Order: sequence, then structure tokens, then C-alpha cells
Amino acid sequence: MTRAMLPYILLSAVVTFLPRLIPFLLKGLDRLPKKVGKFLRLMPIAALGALIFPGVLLDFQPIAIAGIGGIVLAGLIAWFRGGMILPILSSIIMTFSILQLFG
Amino acid sequence: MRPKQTKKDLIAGVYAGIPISIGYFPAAIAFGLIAKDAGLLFLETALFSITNFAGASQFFAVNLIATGALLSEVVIGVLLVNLRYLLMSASLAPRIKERNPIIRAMIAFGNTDEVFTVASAQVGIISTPFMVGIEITSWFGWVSGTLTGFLVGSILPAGIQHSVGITLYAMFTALLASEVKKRHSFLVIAMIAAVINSILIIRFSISTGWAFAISMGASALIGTFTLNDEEPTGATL
Repeated sequence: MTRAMLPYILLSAVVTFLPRLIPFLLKGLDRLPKKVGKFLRLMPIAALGALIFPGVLLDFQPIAIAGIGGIVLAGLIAWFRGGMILPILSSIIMTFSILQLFG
Repeated sequence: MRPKQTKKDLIAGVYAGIPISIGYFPAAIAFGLIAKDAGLLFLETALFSITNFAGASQFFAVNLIATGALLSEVVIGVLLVNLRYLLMSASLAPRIKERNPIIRAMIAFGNTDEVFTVASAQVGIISTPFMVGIEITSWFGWVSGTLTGFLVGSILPAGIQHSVGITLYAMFTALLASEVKKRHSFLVIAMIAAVINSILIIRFSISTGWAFAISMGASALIGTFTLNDEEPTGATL
């Protein structure tokens, strides 16, 4: 790592802590408008989409199918069996295999 | 509060935290692997989990750092992912009667999605020792998993190292699958964000951090006005 990581780590900690802290010190924040609450709860779902694409396509160029194969398998296993370890491990094997085949 | 009751509540909190801790451990292993892959040092990786104690936003931050993003991009992105805690803390805070502001702040620090969910299921007033017990147990699972993941990453064969990059996306996909199971229309929200983000980055070469903030905000806004209000509308990451 060539850059100083400390500011990244500590400022991330601050902006994670503040939303958790403020309602503990101020009263009345439990009566936010309904739409605001809905918006805040949808943010993490939207975040997941943006966290996966286009990253998964770009990270494995020129063999983008290695990334796609990995997440499709992870998604299917998570859907039918749930959990976290099995989807992740299967996706590593899938991506590794595709990279070996076409790499 | 009587000492006997304090001890009883603390133990109840620790018990409530054990399943959370077990759930955190593998996700934290993934974080340790990814942080190592991104080039962070052992101490930096440890410090991340010790001070942030957050799931998705830590992955997001490390991923952005690896692409060389500016500090401002990382901070704004992390803030956006974590704004939802305003809601959770606002709902939990009135039920915790602790007066000492420093202890209140410590309880707020450990209010992750999972801690919030389990603590909210308690009846009535939630005692300070209970919160301390559940949060320390959960935090310990997150931090120890992170250290384990980093060390596992250090002994992986070089050939597999490149494939480890998929871990991040596999984890997000698994999380998304479990959310979509709760409510199928979530898939549309995620897809809208994915498409906007891809267009901004590939077509317009907007930097990762800003593209992320724009696509996430736009998609959540569209969802706010198009999805009907049936529950659940929430996510826990």
C-alpha cells in the first residue's frame, strides 16, 4: 500500500459511527417522515446492485465470464440453500476454473 | 440496578450475541481476504474492523481504496451506505434508559443491523448490561474473523489469489439473494442501480465513488416512489 491508510480507516469509522450515535443523543428522530424512512431502508438494496456491477465485469477482463460464472453460482446457492460460506467458496472454485480454462 | 440483575442481563446479552458472532465470522473472513488482496497491512485490516464494525461499508471502502479512489469519495460512499443507521438508532435509543452519555455512545457504536434486530425483539426497556453483552460478543466475532481471513489470505497459493477477487461479489450476490427472497421487487431496485452505475462508469468514465453515490441514491429514490408500502421494506447488511 503506497498511500497512508489511516485517514481512510478512521474517517470511515467516523461516518459509520455518526448515524448510529446522533439518535442516541437527540430526541424525536424516531418520527421521521414515512418516505424518508423508506428511502433510507432501500439504500442498502440499491447499494448491492451498484457494488456488484460493473465491478464484477471489469475485474476479470478480458475473461468477464469468470466473474459472471462466480456470482451466478453464488446467487443460486444462496437462493436455494442460504448461508454465506458455501456460496463464496463455490464461486471461488467456479471463477478459478473458468480462468484456468480460458486464461 | 442490583448487581445480581446486572450479571443476569450481561449473560443474557452474551447469549443473544453468540448467533450474531457466528454469523459474522465467515463474512469477516471474506473481509480479511479482500483487505489483504487490496494491499492493506495486517494492522490496517485489524484497525478497520475494530473501529468501523460495519459490514457492507467496509467492503465498499476497501474496494474503492484498491481502485485508487479519493478520500472524499470513500467517505461520502461510506456515509451513504450507513445512513440507514439513523433509523435503527432512532428506534432503539428511546428504549435504552442509560443516562451516561459516554456509555450511550458506546452502545450506539455497536448498533449494527444484526444487533439492532435482535435487541429490538426484546420486550420493553433494554438494559445497559444486555446491550454491552450482545455488542461485545458480536464485535469479537467480527474482529476475530477479520484477523483469521487476513492470515488465511497469507497462505493461499498464488494461483488462487486472483480468483479471490470474486469473494466480494459472491458475498454481495448472496446478500442480495437473501434480500430478494424477502421481497422480489428488491431485485428491480438492485438492477436499476447496477445499470445506472455501469453506464456512469463505462460510458461516462465517472469515478467509482461518485458513480456509486449517484446510482444508489437514484435507484433508492425511484423505489421510494414506485414500490407500495407493504412490509418488509428493510434490508439488513
